[in-house]
Amino acid sequence: MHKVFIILRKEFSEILQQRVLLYSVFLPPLLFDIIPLLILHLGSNGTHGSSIRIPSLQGLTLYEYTQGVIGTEFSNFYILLSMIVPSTIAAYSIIGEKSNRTLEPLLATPVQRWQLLSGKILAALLPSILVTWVSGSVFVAELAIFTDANVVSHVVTGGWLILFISGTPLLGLVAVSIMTAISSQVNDTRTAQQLSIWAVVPIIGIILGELSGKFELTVSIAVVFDLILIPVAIFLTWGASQLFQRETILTRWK
Amino acid sequence: MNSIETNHLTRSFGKLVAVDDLSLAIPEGTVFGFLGPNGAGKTTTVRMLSALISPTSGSAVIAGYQLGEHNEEIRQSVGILTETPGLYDRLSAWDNLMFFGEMYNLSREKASTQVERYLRLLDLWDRRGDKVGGFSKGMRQKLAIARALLHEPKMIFLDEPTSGLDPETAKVVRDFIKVLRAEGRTIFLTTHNLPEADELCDLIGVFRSRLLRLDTPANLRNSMFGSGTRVRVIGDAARWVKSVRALAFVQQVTASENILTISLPHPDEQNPEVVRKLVSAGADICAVEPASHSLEEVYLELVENEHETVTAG
Repeated sequence: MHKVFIILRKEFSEILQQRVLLYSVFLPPLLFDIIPLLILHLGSNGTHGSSIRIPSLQGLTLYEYTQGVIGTEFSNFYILLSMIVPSTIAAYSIIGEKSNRTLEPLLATPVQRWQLLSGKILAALLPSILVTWVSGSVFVAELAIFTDANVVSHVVTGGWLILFISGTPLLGLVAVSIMTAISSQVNDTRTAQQLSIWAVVPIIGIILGELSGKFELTVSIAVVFDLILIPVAIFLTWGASQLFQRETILTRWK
Repeated sequence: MNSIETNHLTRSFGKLVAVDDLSLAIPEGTVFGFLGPNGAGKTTTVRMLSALISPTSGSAVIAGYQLGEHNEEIRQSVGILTETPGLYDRLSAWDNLMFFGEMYNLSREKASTQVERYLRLLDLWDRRGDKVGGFSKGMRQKLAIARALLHEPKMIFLDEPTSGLDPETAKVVRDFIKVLRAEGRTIFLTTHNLPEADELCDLIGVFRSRLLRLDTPANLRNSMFGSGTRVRVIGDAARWVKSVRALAFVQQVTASENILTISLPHPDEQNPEVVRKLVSAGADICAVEPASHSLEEVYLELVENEHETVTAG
């Protein structure tokens, strides 16, 4: 376990030295926190009713409903964030090692495969969980301060909270595993990130489903989603670990 | 005791046999030069011997550990300088080495001591806080060598350690390899620099998918071309070839400009008669010296012969 922390410490030192990576990690959550604040503060005067029909917002006044739609739209971005941030870090972390040719000297050390992979996964996962939870909490606080009390309870539902707290780490793990697989085949960070975008398509589908009123993120649906995510995350992590073998990295990675 | 012992070690990638039936024994404290053209399978061999990839067949014992069974112990016992330095550009020299020191199971205190020792030894101490991305190629190479030595391995693999370095830095690296040899470490040196191999190595293996020859540099030279004498004359040396060839013990004579190269079984005993013959024939002799063939000539002869054999086959 000690070596996992050594790798983690090195990864964090490297992350802190990469300005572009830091922007990619901190800018999206910052925007997700600022934009709804501006819209809620400046734009939602309730004079224009939203044409979107979201089941969870039924029972609100027109003014509250408009705020609720804005809140619901943005609340889902935090679920997406949990996939975007770790895949960005993982792309830099793994492809960075490849392009710098640091993987071979690293693999030549007496480090075990699980230690190396755990260090890489945690380096991508921990900041993303932190960023997602902190910015999501800021968003909830904004809702509490700048919208009517009714709106908060309609946007921050039990289903959303379950997905936000327990689903986001699993989604992050899925994203990192997919990025590891992509990293074995490509040699530049941008291509890897472009390919990894496909991983968020199912989540965008869920968001669109909710916003179109065809789907409501209830507690039971969030639990089922989590239960599906657990084996998916385990399976993908196992797949990533199969690709992350010394032999495979040195002889089959492109 | 041998640091490396391989028995019929083979590695294939699909139909391509990169390393074929490699059997060799390298005694402790030896500087072993592993020579071969690009694509000969040298890197694959080094990767197998440092427990990075597994052989398709055959066996090996590295630093007393059986390959395949004690790979982690092997990795702990060997140091490796890969073809490219492979350093973290955004981290300082100090942080790079500390990271690898700890990865080689050194405590933070021990790692710190070792990092300081090697940074000072390789004249990088003053740059310890600088990011490696700003280092010259020579400094990066020295740092990578320091990384390979942090855990004080008895066995070190050096892949092209002076490749692309300026002559001054290359000399620093070569001198450092001599220091390592004096400390009794076994060095597995992969290089294309044949004079360097000649200068540093106790044992040479010429390799092209399989081991073509394994011997000391001196034996290699003698066994390929025999011993001989070089005679420098005034004027065209070709005029005297016939006279020298008339001596029964002379094996071969070649002339190039004003130099005669004569292959002799016992130069010390036969040189006086050669000189007498030349003088009596009218040659004006400027100098007589031992004819030595370079390792480069030996290497090219071996590799070209192998190529012709393979092509003919």
